[in-house]
Formats: sequence, C-alpha cells, structure tokens
Amino acid sequence: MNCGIPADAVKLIEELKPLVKNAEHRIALGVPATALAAAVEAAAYTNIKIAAQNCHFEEKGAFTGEISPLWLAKMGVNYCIIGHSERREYNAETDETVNKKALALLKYGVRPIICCGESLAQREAGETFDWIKGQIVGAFKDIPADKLCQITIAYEPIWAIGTGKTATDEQAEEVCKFIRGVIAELYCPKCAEAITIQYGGSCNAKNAAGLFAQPDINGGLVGGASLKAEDFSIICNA
Amino acid sequence: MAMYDKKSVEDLDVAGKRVIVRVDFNVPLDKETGTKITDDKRIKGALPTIKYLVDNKAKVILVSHLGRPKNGPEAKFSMKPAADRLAELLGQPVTLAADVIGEDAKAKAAALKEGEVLMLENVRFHKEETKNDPKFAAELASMADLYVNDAFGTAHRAHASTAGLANFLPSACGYLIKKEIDFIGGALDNPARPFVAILGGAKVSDKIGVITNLLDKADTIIIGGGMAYTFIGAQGGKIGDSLFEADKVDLAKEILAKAEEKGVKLLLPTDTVVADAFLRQLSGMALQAFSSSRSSQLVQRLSLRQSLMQTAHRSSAAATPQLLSRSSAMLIRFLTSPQAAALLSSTSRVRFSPVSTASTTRRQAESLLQATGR
Repeated sequence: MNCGIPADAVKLIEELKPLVKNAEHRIALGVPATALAAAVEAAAYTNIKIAAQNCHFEEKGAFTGEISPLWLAKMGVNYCIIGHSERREYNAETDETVNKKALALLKYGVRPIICCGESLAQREAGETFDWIKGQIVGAFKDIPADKLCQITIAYEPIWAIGTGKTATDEQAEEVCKFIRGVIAELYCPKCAEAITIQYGGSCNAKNAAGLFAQPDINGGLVGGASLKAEDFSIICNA
Repeated sequence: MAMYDKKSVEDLDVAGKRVIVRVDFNVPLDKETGTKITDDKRIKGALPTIKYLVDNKAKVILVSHLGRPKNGPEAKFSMKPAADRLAELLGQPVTLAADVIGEDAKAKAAALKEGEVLMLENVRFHKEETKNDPKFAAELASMADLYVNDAFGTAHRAHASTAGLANFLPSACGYLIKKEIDFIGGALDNPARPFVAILGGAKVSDKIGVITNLLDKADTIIIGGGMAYTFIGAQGGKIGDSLFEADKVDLAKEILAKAEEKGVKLLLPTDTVVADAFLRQLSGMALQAFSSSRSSQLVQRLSLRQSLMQTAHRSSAAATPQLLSRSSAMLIRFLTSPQAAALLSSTSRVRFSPVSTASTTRRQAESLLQATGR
C-alpha cells in the first residue's frame, strides 16, 4: 500500500521512465486504485504498463466500494493483480473469488496477474506443492487455453514477502517449475510455455538477475524495491 | 533491442485458424463516383501478409477503416471498393460482410474455409472503435482465434481494432509493421553516419519526444513544416501570422540549446514563401520557393503590415539559383493582395499580378504548371 496519492505515483513513473527506456523486459507498475487514472496517463506512450492491485468480479451491481473490471478496461489499465496473499489473509480472498475475478478480467481484456504462495508453516510441514496446486487449479477453473497468453502467475512465498528473506534461486525455480507442470497438466505441455510465471518476495536489485536466469522464472513481482525508481530500474534492466 | 523484439505473423501457428488482420485500406476515392480507388498503394502493401496467411491455410478476416464516418453506416464509406480491388490483386474472391460485428459478419466469419478471405465493413461505423471500447473489442475478437496487426498507418492509434484486439487474442504484427520496426529500429540503433533526420509537421508539442530522442542519435536534424515557425519565433525571427505555439517557445529554446550542447546541427529554414492565403493545393508549387534576398526582405516587411495571412514554407537546403528564379515568376502571380502585388512590382524586375480568389489562384497555378511542363 504505497504511492496511492496520484502525484506520488506520477512522480515515481516520471523518475522511472528514462531509467527503463531501453529495458528488454515487459514492465508493469502495480498502482493503488486512487492513483490509477493519473498513472495510466503518466505512463502513456512508454514501455511501462499499469496494473491495478485488486478488483471485484462483478462488472456492475450494488457493490459499494468495489472496483468493476470493466472500469479498468475502459480506463486503459493493462493488468490487474489478484489473489495477493495479503488480500487472501485480510480480505477473505478465496480461490473461488480469484477465479471469478480472473474470468471477469479476461472478459474485458485486462490481463490478470494471479498470485499464489505458501506460508512458512506450510513449507516446513512439506505442504507447499499441494497447497500451490490447489490455488492454481482453483484459480484456473473454466479458463480456456487460448487465454493463457494473457495471464501471469506470480509465486510469492508468504515467508519472503516484506521479510527480506528471499527464497533461494533453487527454491524459487523448484516451485515455479512445479506451477508450470500444473498448467501443463490442466491444459497441455505447449500451453504451459505460453504462460508467464514470476517470482515475488523480497525480489530486489541484488537477487533479480539470478532469479530471472532460472529456466521457469520469467520475471518478478516486486514490492518494496519498486518504490525507488533507481532500484526498480536495475531489476527492469536485469 | 528487445523493445523491437515483436512477434511477427510467422511466429503464429495459423493453419486452420481464423485470423483477424487489421489492415490500412483507407484508400483515396475519386470525387465523381466515390467508388473508384485513385491510389491502391495501401492495398498492395498488405498483400504479403494476406498472401502468407492464405498460403498457410488461415481463415482471413480483414478489418479496416475508411475515411471518417460520422454517424454509423454510410454507403460512401463502404469498404466495397477496397474489397473488390483486393480480390483483383489477390486473384481470389473477397467476401464483404454487411456489417462489422453484426449477425452477417459473425455468420460469414464462422463459415470461412481455409485460405478464404472475408472483409468486415468499415470498423469506424461504430463509435466504439475510436474509443477502444473493451466490449466492442471483445466482439471483434470473438470472431477470430488470432490477431495480426499490419496497419502501420494506424498503429499509433489505440483503437479497438488496433490495440484492443491484442487484449483478447494472441497477437503478432504483419510484414508491413515488421518492416518498419526493422528499418526504423535499425536506423536508430545502428545508423550509417552522418545521420540526418528530417522532420516536418505542424506542432512542436507533438514532436517533442521524437526530437529529444533524436538529439541523442542524429548528427543533423532538419526541421521544416509549420513547426519551424515556433523555433524561428523562439530565436526572435519574424514570422508574421504563421503557425506559432507561444506556450512552446521555452521548449523550443531548450531544444536549440540542447542541440548546441550535444553538437547536433539543428537546421531551420533560412527563407520562406509568403502568400496572402495558405492554399494547400499550392504548397506543392510553393515549394519551388523564391528567395532573392531583396524580395524576401520586402515580403518580410510586408507580412508585418499588410494583409498577408500565412506563409508557406520550405527549407533552403534544396534551393538552387535556377530553380528559384524560374519559379519566382510563377509564384509571384499568386499573390492575392493588390497592395502586395503593387509594392513588389514597383521594386523588382518581375511583374506581379494580383489574383482574386483562392480557386482562381489554384486553377491558374495548375494551368501554369502544365504549361511549363512540370
């Protein structure tokens, strides 16, 4: 929850623009809802896309306080992060609501970034893979294969978020590879190639290159390090 | 540079798939019947991509706009002439749908066989197109499995059929766009030197990003067109009533300073054609500018005081003495202000005769061109 005041978001984008001008990766900035409009405008005609951090799964209706996926589409917001562990913990986000949100976003052409991840307790109890599989299968219910190219999966082990304790390259690769396998099972091996899988959780300027070099990690979902243009640009150019 | 690492049509697996292709068939039509295409260059430009898809057993759905329909379907903006011409060039039938996302289009799209080509009606019949409405884009996308954008001419517009479709379908660019990416990308990454960039256009504000980026890459930048007036004005030059963006003067000064700092030669026009009225049709001829220094001084003084409305413009880079003196005879005839004509006649060796109306001027200009065989 940062840079929610439009001017702050715009400031970050303006600082970031020249630093990532020649980046090879696709870049998206996840912005709080209050700053979305200003961010979309500030990032227009650049290689920085804008992501919302949550949305509702209904297009319209009596849902005071919620954000319709159709609005995001009409505003030109390119992506929407759904199922972030913080929302799963504090806002009663379930696999079912994540799935409904994904379907709604795909309906209007907003690309979902679907988050999954296990807690420290689950990792220590050896439940990581079962847990992740449940999250993925739940999130992808009824999503057709031809939409996979529009979807990103972000693996964020909860014990690595905001703790400074990053997963090792091997740990991250292990789970991302597993996730790709789950997609291959649900759809087909070739389909699994189409989907982008990111790692998140204390991803920073120092560890980004190592993480991105892993065969099944296509990128990063960056939290704290994205608040400083300088640091984030190092990751973007990694 | 990976920014240019865009997928092309060859990266898609198109066999048996319905591929919706955004093409630029915004072709000029004749004034008499409104159904004869006067220049089919744009249709020819799309042939490589269309042929590739047909040869690779795709089911091709073409979408394009034509002109600026204001209020829904209108016969004069129909894609029919383009569809017919394409059929001739391709050597195979091209079906034209009666609508864009209506029943007819959807039925025809569903009925397409491998290697067949369908053209949708003018996509701008729907206001939602230029608004990039997500529901409209979803409707367009529903008729196909893949999306190819080969409309370089409209690629800068975020419309439903250009940008919106990519939010729903796996997409790639066609050969036209790929060529531009390769060429411009190549030219910017690794230009043969000396690298000279020539810019035209009316407004500085539109081109700022481009100029700033080019300052890092080019050895020389030549700026002509309406935009040059703001630069000349920023330097304190007199430009009469020509196009001038007062709020961009500081920006212009900044650019001039940056160019100097980076050792980039920024060339602006050193002379100009002055006329009573800016006649688009004339500007082709106006390019054959006159610039005897005496007459241009006179004209410059005139422009401050008299009724001369705007100035047409060109860069002196291409001027030659013979061209100038030959054309000055022609151009001088087209001053419409009697006072200007009288003043210039009295002070130079050439006869000036005023002309009464813009259309007269144009006809005279055209017949004069014919007479001098240009």
